[in-house]
Amino acid sequence: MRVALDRVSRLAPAEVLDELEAALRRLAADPLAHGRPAAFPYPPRGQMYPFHCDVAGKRWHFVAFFYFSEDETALRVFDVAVSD
Amino acid sequence: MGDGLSFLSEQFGLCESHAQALETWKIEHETAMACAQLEDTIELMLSMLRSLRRHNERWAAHVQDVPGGFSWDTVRKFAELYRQWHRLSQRVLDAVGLCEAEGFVVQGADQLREESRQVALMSLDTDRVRRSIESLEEGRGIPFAQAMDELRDHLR
Repeated sequence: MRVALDRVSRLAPAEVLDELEAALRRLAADPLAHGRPAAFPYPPRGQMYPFHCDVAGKRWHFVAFFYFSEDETALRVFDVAVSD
Repeated sequence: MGDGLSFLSEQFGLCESHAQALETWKIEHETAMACAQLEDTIELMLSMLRSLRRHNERWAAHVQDVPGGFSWDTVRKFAELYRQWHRLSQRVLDAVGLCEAEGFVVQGADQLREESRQVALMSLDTDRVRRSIESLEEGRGIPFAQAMDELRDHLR
């Protein structure tokens, strides 16, 4: 997950972290409700979860890219994209 | 897949020449004419993106149907086309900004802005994504709580 969070660590301010964490926890709690298949970049198994955070009057857009482990007991997040 | 992608590359050449024409316009041409040209370029850009996504979705369906159909090489080619589209969209949006500053409304500009934002939010750094997935597959991922703690420490 270190590589997955590269972009967030470079581009997002610390103020978005609580909301980012909450969003990822929502995804983990119910991935079928929040995720949808992603045609790119990893169509064999990849899913995506777009969400946004409003912090200090500014909207930050995120997309978490993930897939399920083989036994479907874990989510593996391989990238989190961010833009304002 | 190869032939389809070559076709898209050629279409990007057309977008490129439109974008270059816009740069000339910035200096020399009447703003109203240029705005009309800009709208044509936006339409072309949006059409290109739709076409690229259609190819991408067809490939994704193929990958899901055919074992072994996935290749990082194809991912890299798609990523390059999306990046190229995004670079062009930024140039066109720069020109849109100039036009709007002159008081013109440019049809399609909002849609182009939104699509450009969507493409910026794609996972286009193929090497990094591959590294990330391979690392997870090799069991070198870290738990969520640890990842968030490390991110918090890094951003403070």
